[in-house]
Amino acid sequence: MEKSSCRTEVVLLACGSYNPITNMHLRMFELARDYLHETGKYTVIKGIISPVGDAYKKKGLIEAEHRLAMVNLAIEGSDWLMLSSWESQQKEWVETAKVLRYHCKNLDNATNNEKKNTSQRKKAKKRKIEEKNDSSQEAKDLPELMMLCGADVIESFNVPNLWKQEDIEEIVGKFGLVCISRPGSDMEKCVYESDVIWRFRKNVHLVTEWITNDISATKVRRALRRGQSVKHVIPDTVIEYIQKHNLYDLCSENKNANVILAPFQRYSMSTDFNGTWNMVSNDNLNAYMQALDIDFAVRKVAALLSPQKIIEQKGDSFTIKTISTFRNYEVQFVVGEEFEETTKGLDNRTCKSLVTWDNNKLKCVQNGEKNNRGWIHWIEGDKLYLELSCEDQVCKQVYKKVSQA
Amino acid sequence: MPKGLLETQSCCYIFDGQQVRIAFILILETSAPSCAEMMNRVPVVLLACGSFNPITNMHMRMFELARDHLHQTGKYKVIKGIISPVNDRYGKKGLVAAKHRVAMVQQALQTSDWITQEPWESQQEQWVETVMVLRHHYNALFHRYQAMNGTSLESTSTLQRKHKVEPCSAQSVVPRLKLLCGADVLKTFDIPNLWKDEHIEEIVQKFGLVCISRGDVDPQRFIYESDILFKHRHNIHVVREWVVNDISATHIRRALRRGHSVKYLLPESVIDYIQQHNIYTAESEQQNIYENLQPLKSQSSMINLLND
Repeated sequence: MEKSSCRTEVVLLACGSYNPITNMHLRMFELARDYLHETGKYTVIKGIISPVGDAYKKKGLIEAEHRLAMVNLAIEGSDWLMLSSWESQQKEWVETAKVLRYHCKNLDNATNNEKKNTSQRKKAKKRKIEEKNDSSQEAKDLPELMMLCGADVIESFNVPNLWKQEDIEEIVGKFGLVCISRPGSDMEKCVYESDVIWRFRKNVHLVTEWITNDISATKVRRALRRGQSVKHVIPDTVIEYIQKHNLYDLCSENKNANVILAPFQRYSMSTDFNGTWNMVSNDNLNAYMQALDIDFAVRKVAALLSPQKIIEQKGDSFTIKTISTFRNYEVQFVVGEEFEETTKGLDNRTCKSLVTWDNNKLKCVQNGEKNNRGWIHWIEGDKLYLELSCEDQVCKQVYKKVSQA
Repeated sequence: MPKGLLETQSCCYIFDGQQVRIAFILILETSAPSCAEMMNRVPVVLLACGSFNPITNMHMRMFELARDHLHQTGKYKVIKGIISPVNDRYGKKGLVAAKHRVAMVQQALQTSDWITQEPWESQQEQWVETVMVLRHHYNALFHRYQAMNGTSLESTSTLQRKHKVEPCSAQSVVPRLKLLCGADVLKTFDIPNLWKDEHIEEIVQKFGLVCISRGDVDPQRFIYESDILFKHRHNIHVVREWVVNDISATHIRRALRRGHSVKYLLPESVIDYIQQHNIYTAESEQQNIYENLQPLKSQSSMINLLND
């Protein structure tokens, strides 16, 4: 029998608001499946729809409970599409890369369980006539998980603070992308212009949707507000549900109107360093101190410390205090003005230091006896990041803001 | 009530010249028109001609969009939609037997409470010009109107009770029959010998056009550039389709030939029918490949006659 054992099994995962689900979302899966099958290399075994959680705070995003219900209605009777409510059930917004990792792990577990069951069954069959089947059951590889999305998602990779660079790399590098776009949208150019995507272009599958079907959920919601028909654009059962529960009006569209989107909240770099920050993590401190020729005894003690940073910032004028049970250190400077710094209590050297703004990061170069010496401070959300370098060693520290009384 | 009686070469129809009382009502986003308001509106029936080879969600959308648009002008009430698949003798490339096309439309309309199919055009011996299809269906509507509202001495309300007609659906005037089409059809008015000029004029003057525009063809410019269309522009409704939806039947047939999925582009029941009867193949696409379209044939043969 024709065995697709030389083909890789693929599971498609499409994240999104699904606010509401439309025929276009459903088409994406069909197009992706046809495309991958025709390469001769893949068999698509499953499609997963993962609606985003309410904590994403997108304008007009209605409760997850409804959005999930509508997806269920839309895929009723489908033999390969399924709904995953995991992402929407998490309290905080979950990065797409995390969702992919979660489902990947799920697939691994499921496949491993299958392998276990298969081998158990095989043991039971030991006494029976040997199987005629080939060994493809035994050699069942893990199915590949690929992200399915529209061209707008790829284009959004460029929006500042919307995606973490490492996440983009993980998505295209470790998983793979199937991107559906309209004719003429030039996704190839998009791939070419991004170094990260270019590097992993073998994992990026561009599918052109020749039968244009540009049903954005935004347009659907607008039509519903205006009492216009959305028949044949979203499934009939979804229309009934919307009418029954009276979803989508002016009020629902204004939800989250003044709220910042979750990724922006999380990733945006504030330039207000004021506050007290407690250490959360400290990486490679020992090697950094060694590069500074700090002696063994001090290093031993320092490794046990959990210092606190107290930062006072008035305009470009800073005072940074590092408080610990062992030693305290204070440095004062004005951004852009070179000053003489003596690292008393640390390595006791004198440097000519200069702090400058590098985008939203505070960067310090400490010119002196040691090469390549300096530090970088920056803020993401409620975390303060500090990287201390000396020669080829970098110590990475993370602090969390102590809430103001 | 003045009536105009016009006789043409092939059929006869009656044009009602009565002035219609039109109530202009502003429609708010959230309020639905009351029964009384609806009664004051001009009743409209939408007729869509075409190959329907096969019928797609885009065809179905056209009706929805047209109805919304006409309702939201405050002047009209769309009471019915009619789908009229073209005759096999139209000679279009890839046109499969009317029997199948009619069956597929039937499947698609199962869930509709206001759109129906009239297979009259497909059942004729010859290909029928669009204007004749319009005349035929208008006649039918007019006769029905007469039967309902005729010359009886009984009051309208008694008649309504007798015929079990909903008060709101009683028509104070004959419904207007308008041709529903895509902007691409409008553009074909330009193609030499495809339409007779008198027919175009009759369509826009006596009946009216509801034209769904996708944004790729600019109907306003087209109307402006044609003297006939411009003259009757008040009778041409251009409806902008907000969902850019290019589900042309040609694309669908191509996808089917290549074994690609067309799910969510046509009604499920139509997809089932196509698969059951294996309608669209490489061979079916070759149908009429050496033929000229019927309208082009008729026109040129007429010209030959004149030269004699």
